[in-house]
Amino acid sequence: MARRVRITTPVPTLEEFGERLGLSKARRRSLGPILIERRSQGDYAVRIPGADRASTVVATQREAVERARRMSPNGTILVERVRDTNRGARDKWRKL
Amino acid sequence: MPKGVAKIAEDAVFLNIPYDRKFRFLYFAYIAGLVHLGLEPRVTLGLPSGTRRLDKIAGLIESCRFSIHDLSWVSLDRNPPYATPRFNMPFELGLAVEWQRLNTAKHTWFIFEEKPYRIQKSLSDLNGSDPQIHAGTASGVMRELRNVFERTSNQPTVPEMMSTFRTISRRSRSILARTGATNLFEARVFQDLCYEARGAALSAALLKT
Repeated sequence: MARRVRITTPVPTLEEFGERLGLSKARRRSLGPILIERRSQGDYAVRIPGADRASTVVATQREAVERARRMSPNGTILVERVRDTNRGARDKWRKL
Repeated sequence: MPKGVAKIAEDAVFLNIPYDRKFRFLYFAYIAGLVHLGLEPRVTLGLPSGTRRLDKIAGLIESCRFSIHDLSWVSLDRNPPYATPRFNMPFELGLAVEWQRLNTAKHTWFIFEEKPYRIQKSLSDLNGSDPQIHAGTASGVMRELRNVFERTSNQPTVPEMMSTFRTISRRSRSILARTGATNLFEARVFQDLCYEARGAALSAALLKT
């Protein structure tokens, strides 16, 4: 029996992990965290971590939060900060 | 044991644990800890019963690069018709030991126990193999998982793993309600717990950056 082993395999993305578990796309979307990012065009993308494309793009952060809540009622929603505050700066995430 | 059945997943861990409500916090701890380490736990939940079950279990062990056998549950099952100990877990450990003996480079097994030195009495054939002692606590399971699995980068800390553990413990009730399952030891619930644990670990990592 080994005492310690070294893990060299990369940590799977959430998408890969969900696929390996055999979860459907809809199920993965309803369970996992959702990211809301501001794009350079000034609109907001709602994205599942690890997904190449945004699930939806809307004009305001409020709309994006509503869409994310609808997509994943049980999941965590992380919003990219768009202002520098004493609790966190731009390019950091905040949890809703 | 059938040979060449399954492709070995280098990050999969066969989890040999008791499916008992009293064990649920350690069940959450194993899921949270392994998933946080970037590993994929696999269990026998959802496998069909009957004669094919043994082949499926053997195939499952063979498909995993690692296995963890928690032998802390050494008690009598008092459910009728007879009070008997459950032999499934030591039996599955035996399958893993033999698989490793035949394929040293393909499989590595670990024993987890609650109390030190007890296994020397309950399973003396394994004398010389030191078990990981978790003391029956979730943080003990995390500590021992970190002791046996070392990531070359981004090794999670015990507090980070405990945060994921708390998240899935909190959400377990809603997972039960959502899936319509009657207990936590059903395949669908296990899948959801693993996925939520991965999501919680990822969220924690993003919030930390």
